[in-house]
Amino acid sequence: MTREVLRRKGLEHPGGALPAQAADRAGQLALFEEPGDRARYHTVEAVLPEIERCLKCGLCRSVCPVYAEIRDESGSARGKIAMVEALREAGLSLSRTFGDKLSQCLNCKACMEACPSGIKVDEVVLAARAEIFTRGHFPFLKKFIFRNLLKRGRLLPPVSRALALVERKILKGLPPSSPYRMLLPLVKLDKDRTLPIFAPKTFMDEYGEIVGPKATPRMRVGFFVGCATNLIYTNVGRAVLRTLVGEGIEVVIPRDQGCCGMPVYTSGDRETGGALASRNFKAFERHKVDAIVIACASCGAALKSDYEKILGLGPGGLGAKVYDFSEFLAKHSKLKFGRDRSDTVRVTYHFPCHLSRGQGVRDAPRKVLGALPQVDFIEMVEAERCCGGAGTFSLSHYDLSRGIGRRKASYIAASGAEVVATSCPSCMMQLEDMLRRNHLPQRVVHLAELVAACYPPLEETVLE
Amino acid sequence: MGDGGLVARLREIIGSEHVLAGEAAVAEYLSDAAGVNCPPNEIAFPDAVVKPAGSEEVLRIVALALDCGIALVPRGGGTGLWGGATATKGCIVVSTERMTAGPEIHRDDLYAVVGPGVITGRFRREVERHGLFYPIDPASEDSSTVGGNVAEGATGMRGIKYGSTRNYVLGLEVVTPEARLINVGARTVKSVAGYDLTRLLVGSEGTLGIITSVTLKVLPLPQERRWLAFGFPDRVRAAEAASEIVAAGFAPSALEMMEATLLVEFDGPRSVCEEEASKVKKMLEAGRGISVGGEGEGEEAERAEKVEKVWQTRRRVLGDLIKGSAAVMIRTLRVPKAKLGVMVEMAGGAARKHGVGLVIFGHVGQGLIHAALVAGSPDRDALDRAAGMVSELTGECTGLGGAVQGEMEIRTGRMPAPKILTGAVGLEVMRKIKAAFDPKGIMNPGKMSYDT
Repeated sequence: MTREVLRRKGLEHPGGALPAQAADRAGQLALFEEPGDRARYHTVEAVLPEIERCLKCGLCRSVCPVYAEIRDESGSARGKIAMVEALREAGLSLSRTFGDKLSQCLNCKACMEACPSGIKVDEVVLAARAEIFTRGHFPFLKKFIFRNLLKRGRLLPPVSRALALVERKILKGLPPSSPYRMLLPLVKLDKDRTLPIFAPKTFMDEYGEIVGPKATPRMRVGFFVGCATNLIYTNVGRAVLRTLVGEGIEVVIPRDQGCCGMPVYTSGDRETGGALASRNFKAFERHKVDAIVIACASCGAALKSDYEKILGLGPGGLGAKVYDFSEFLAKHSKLKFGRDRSDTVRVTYHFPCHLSRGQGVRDAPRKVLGALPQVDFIEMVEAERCCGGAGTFSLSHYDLSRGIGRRKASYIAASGAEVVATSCPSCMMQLEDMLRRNHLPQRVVHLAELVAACYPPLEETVLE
Repeated sequence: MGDGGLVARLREIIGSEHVLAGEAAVAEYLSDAAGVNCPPNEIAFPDAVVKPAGSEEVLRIVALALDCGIALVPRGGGTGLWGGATATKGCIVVSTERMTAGPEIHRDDLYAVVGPGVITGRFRREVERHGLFYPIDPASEDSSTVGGNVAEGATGMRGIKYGSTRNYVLGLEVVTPEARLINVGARTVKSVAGYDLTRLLVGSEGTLGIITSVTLKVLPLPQERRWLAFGFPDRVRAAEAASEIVAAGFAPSALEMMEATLLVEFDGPRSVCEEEASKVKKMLEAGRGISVGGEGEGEEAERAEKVEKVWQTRRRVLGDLIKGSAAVMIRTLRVPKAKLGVMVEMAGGAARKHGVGLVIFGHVGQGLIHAALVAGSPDRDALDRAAGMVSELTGECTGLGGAVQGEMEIRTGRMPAPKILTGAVGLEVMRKIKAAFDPKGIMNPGKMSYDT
């Protein structure tokens, strides 16, 4: 592939310089090379030095949620590393089975925390998936959705509105007793699962590009919305705006931002992932902002670190300015909400994997929740354990996802909380489904929704 | 090789979801931790990996293996460093992952019965919830299994006071290589009918049968546990201090060394712990030791945290060494406890002479020192120098009345030497015992050290 082709495909480095490209053996393309740390691993060959350090101690197994369910070595990081080793050293071939086993990973990074050798298991697994993808072993429908829907971006809102129409008007929100549920298995969905309801209007269609306070703003931040908030949980987006505007901050919501790309590149399609990332870079570059705020932990991990270490895009400039919503508040807000505690609700917090281990953010949510006057914050056991949602994982591996989620649901119930808050819409979807399936009464909210309740309604503070 | 008939018959015995066959399906079960260092010259794919639920199924699997003349490789957590669970060509790997029955805890009679596939750490914690104590805590306890620990005769940090797995196995249920089920041992401490087959089987590395149930002795949980840490000016002084602790008649439950640091644990009734701890502290401080987390270093919780950090460093030392070096060669030296300082001094001298990096750590209270020779790069020259140092070290150690107890090689490209320390006649007797148990030679062939 020539540099010209790379430029046309939108893989040009935003800083102007084109990344070097190198053709790897057997037609695999190493997209980026040099300088330094970026994008080390696109192929199985490249990860061999990383996995050399595996001691086979198996400590990863003791924390892996997948292993806990399936009790098969392939579920753990150690098993996956052994498979990758066998690929190169024992002449094992890439096969359907191999790909299936590699897909049984939540990317929750618990194994990385436990590993005494500090192996970057996420990069290893994702590199293997990238190689499988470049060799053409990939489900057609998924590829189609990634390349034509997510990449195009503009097609998403109409599709989403159509889905919203069907869900709300025809399927009437699909209550548990609805006869339409019998049709769900036809689209490979479990008939009893709680499905998210698409919003009739996307979040970005509801608001303009700049939303600011009446008074002179003290800061200007960009808001990276993310697909789930844009298409489904628009109330989360509203809560973020209400909070930030209430804090006297002007919010920029660049219109040409799109999907962060995580479902795409974690499946192995780094080319499309790179294109999505580049588009997001360009969208935010045009606006001068002091920071970028994100309310989805996965989008946060994508922008802060994956863009650089998986896709080889940089510089870390974009990453350095990105904050999770709770992180941003902990840093830039005095968090003074008064002490009225007459009507408190017991709230526990589930840490999205991509927030705690993916971004190293652990104190901020606790600090923020602790400051809210209406919240009586309770810690839950294993608050950082994966809920089993993992984005599209709960679609492709629903039984496994349910098994993992059941444990999390029991911890939520055991905490004695009435509400579970979290910072990721994907987790929200999963927790909602798991609580309902296990007949538990707790409600699921995004942390931003609890925070926003402490600020005046947007109508009162926003500059028209 | 793919023997379709074999796989079909295995599926009939335990159900197809518990039989893995085909290269892609079994790839994760090729080796245990020994494969880390030196991938076998010929990577061998097993014909199948099976996960039986209990002794019934194991019996039928062994019978089938006998019938077909196929080797069996038992596997627990796959964390062993000796290759015991590494697959051989055309074998059936028998994983105990599903044999997780129990533990059945008998509080008053101080024993527990547990399936071989139970993770040791999990067993230990379960037993502690009942106010009981299983003191064998290998570093791998969160991923190794009780059965695997028995097969390898594992020990942990508390060996100085509590011994090894060998001292806690009261009885075993085993499927022999002739597809017969035997129960050896008893549920009481004393039982002297016939030969002590239980102790023979402990440490037999899966070559005499497949363990399907384990009866373990447990102790009452000590009332209190106290942890101390001391820094010394250099590691020779630290090693000498360890000898002094032993000579003075203290009975810590753990006595560990890591370079110039000593870690001491006492357990037992609270008053005894406190007294012992304060006496040891006085003695070591008089001998140039500096107490970590001593008085005046903040609140009790802070001080305890400081001590805990030192212990964590000790637990993580192997991983840290590997992270930081290109290759590591470890020799476990058994040294008379009075000679620890001398040994450490000699090792340091040899390291300087050969220009090799050296890190010393280990269960000094048990007379065990790990001498870790680290290389910054895996080049031939560095490894040769390390090998040179090792022979000098071995000579010095035996000269002091000790022995090389074990080896561990990481990315040096050499396999560890076999661990048998008995002479030629002893080996002969062992071969005969093996033949008596396993006339057809199907149970983990080629694995027992005497096979090399």
